[in-house]
Amino acid sequence: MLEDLARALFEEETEGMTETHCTALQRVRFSAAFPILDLGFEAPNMVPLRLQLNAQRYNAEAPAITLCDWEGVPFKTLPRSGGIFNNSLHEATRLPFICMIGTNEYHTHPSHRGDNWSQYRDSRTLAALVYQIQQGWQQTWRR
Amino acid sequence: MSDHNKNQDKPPGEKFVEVRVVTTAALFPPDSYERVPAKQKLTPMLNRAATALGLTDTTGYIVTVNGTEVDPELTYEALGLSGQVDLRWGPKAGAGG
Repeated sequence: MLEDLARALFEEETEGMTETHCTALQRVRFSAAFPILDLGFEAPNMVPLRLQLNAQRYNAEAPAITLCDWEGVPFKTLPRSGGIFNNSLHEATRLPFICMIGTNEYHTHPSHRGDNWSQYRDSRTLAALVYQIQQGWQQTWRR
Repeated sequence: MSDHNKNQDKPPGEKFVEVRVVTTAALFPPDSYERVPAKQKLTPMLNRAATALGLTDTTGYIVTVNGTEVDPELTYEALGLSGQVDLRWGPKAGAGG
């Protein structure tokens, strides 16, 4: 039941993320097959970043995000950090993570457990989350 | 309306730009650009995109063109925009924690 709801919401929210849309936003869409939205950001003079958003329990839970290199291998250490990109290891994933409202890693982090996802879930979308992460990437991942 | 009549409606020498709104979730129009007068403000196009894409709350959204934030209450001409223009429209990046 939860997975059916998550799948329906995922498909609704990723429907407009066509290749044309992604190209306009300097993104590459590797795949958008539930539960994973797999996108990359690349631009001149920027270190590329690939994101894998897991929406298995969306939006009962915030999407979990894995930060990867262009081949899809999770970073154990980020090539750039600061802003929303936290290079310390998350206690649940043992990987660097995005520390920003709307990510599962933020809401399950000991520093932010009081900032519950439930108060945001009805006003957040996958698209807005990706957009915010991309803006953070543009500010932080310059070569 | 014939093309002849359409042309009569346009002031002579009026400049146009081709505009597309790129939101966080989709494009408007979805597969092309829309031709609008260069003397038009950006806001009407954003409003039409919001209606077409079902955006009910755009509070805090900003518009950027080629990475630079612009004021949507200005015209394309005042902003020095010409040719094909992508209006990227979305929320400002949040802070890290």
